[in-house]
Amino acid sequence: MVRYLIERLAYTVLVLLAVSLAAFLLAHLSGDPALMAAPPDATPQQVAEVRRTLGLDRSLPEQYLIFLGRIARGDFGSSFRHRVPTLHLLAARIPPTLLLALTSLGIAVVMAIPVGVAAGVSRGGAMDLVGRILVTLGQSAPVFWTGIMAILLLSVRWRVLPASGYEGWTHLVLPAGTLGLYSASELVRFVRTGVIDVLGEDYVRTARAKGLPSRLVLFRHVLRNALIPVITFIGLRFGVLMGGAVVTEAVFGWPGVGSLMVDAVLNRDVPLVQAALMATAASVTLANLAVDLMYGAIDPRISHG
Amino acid sequence: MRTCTRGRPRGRPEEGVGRMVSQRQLIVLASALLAILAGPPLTPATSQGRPVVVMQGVEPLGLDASITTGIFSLNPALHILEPLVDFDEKLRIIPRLATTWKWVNPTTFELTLRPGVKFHDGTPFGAVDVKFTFDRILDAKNRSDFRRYFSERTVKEVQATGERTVRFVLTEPRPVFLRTLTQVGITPQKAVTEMGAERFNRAPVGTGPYRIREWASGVRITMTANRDYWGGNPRIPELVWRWVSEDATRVAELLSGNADIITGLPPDLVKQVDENATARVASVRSLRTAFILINTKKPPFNDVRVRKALNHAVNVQSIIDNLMGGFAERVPTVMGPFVAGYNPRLKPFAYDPETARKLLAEAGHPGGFTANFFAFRGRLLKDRELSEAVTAHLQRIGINLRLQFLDFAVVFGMTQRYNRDVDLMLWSNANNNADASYNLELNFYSKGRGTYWSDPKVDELIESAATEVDETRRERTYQEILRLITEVHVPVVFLYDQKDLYGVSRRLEWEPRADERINLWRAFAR
Repeated sequence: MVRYLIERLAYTVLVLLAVSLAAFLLAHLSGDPALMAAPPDATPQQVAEVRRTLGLDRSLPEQYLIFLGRIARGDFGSSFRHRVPTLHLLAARIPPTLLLALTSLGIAVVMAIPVGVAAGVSRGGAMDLVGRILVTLGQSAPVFWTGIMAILLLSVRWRVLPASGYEGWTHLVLPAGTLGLYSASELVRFVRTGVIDVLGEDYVRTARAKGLPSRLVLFRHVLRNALIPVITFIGLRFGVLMGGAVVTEAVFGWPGVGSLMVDAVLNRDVPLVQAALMATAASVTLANLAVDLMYGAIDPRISHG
Repeated sequence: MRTCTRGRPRGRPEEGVGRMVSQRQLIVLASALLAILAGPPLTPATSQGRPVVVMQGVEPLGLDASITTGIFSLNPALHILEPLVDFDEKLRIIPRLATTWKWVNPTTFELTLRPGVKFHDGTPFGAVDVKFTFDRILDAKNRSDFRRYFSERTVKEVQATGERTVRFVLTEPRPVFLRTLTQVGITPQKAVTEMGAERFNRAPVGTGPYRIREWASGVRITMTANRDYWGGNPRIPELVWRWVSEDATRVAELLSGNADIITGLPPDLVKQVDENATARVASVRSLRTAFILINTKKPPFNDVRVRKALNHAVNVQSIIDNLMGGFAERVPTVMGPFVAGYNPRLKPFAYDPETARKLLAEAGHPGGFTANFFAFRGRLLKDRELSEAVTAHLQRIGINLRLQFLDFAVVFGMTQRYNRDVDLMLWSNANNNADASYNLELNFYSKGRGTYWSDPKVDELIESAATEVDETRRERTYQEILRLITEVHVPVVFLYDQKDLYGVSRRLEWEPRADERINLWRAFAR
């Protein structure tokens, strides 16, 4: 287990190194970084001065090592546009992002697991139909459409919930609900397929043959095994959501990481893009690591020995 | 967008994430549903005593109006900080922190400051603060966006010649200088020094009609009326600035009574807002002029007859009436009548496909030809539809355009450096400072971005106007330049001034202005 953990951690560090290289090269691919950092209407001498101060006159490998050293010290530079350290900007966006990710995933799990299990068990039955409707609706209606519809009904027509903002729990309901519905529609499919697969396994037949009540079969044997793909889904989706839910954030004016990053890209704010890229990559790889470790806890066959 | 003088495009207020999702279908769907749902709400909005809420597309980048430009930052910032002089709603210069001004000689500009003005922290305002503000801009280390206007290229020195007099010594005569002062907020030497630039940018101390209360990052900015304001107590006690990039959400916030002004109202949602009992649409002819750049450096567009043919073939008035819903005003040249230097004697090209065909035949292209047309989406009002309409109109005289939509940054790059693939290119100009110099020096001057057309005679006139201190002579020179552009050289397809659309709650007495400024210290809310 310890060896596995070390291996996986080493792998994570490698991935992050690769991302840091990509982030570093990005700055050089998208134009002369000295020109981007120089003040407006800078004279050629000023640009040269900026180039020297930022170390842009050194060789690329040298610059990369310096870049790594800065990251190791937690120095991700200052945003060109916002004129504050990129880490301050990111840090302010993490609580809302985390809140939205966790709540929407919670809503997805609460909705998808009962529906998915019922759909899998009563394949072709009434619950399966409910599941299908949820999947079709959730997958074919884009988040911005369901989001706007929810706003029109609940904020404009009935005035029970605020349309946008980040103030109290009422502001969380619409974005988390919309995003949760979308995640749920995907998750239902995983749960349903998982349940159907497991129902065909020999050990389920054995459990039934030995006279175990069907409820016990479902909870003790089917559910536990069918949950493995579900955990994968949740873990990966969490990682993705930590990178921001761009569309949901735009529709509901939610101050998450996604909108910050898109604006940074659109405005060629290189240091901010680099920092956001590193942070997002870290959250995705760490979520992957957590998923891998959880497998062992759920499925005894997967041992990390 | 605002065209600008440097490598990065400056944003319009509605720029950002929302553009990626504000698809056509969304608008159609949303308007259909709004129409169904716009019946009387279950609980009427009560607005009494609520703060006035302005909702724009993006969060301000900073509130230090001597460092950060961009209208979505300046609008809130210039409620706290004040400029030396300002534009009134007709874009005439009026006094603010300066009461009088004069040219001492062609390169020395002197202003007398308003007496008895105090900053929000109680420190008296004086000439040292003005000098401090502009010295900060002039210092390249501070990376002020205003270096576009104030740098060692234009300003030699700022002198506090008395407690209430300031002198700007310029490198050469520069009549537009006064107008460039209208956007710079004056900052207090004491507070900036004590707080440091970063903190001041988040919670500035100024002389303006409002004091900052809180900037909740990502959420809102709150301001309260400055009871000691020299210009009298503002009538709205509390202001809130919020932002959400999705157009339809801003409309929803307006209709549900949670916003009093929304910027960037899409034309498709105008009807729904106007039919609502709590809101109205306010529109104003803006300073932004749209046009299509023509690459005059290669055939067949090096022939002025071909360029005239293009102008006769595009039915601009029909585009305005049918496509823009009337939210544009035709212009015969590259700027509208609010801009100082505009030539009122110019007439727009008549829509006349016959003449267009004849001109093409005379130029040796009776059967027409094929050309590239580069455009972008989501930057100008209905830019996609406009580009498609122009393509269709030119097809009727045999010109087949290969219309390509590119990322705005790519098109912007094409204006900066000559690209021989360009035949036609959609473009616009914000006419900053409401003065002809900005647009002409940027787009039609060989030392600016006159990449696809320039002319030695026009260059010379632009240079002479830039340093002409006699206002009448200066204006006449600009009028002559515009005449040469419109009647002789025809380097663009002339289109229109765009109108800016706002949604406004009916409880608020406020009207929009051409320069996109939202000033609320004279506004009134029921």
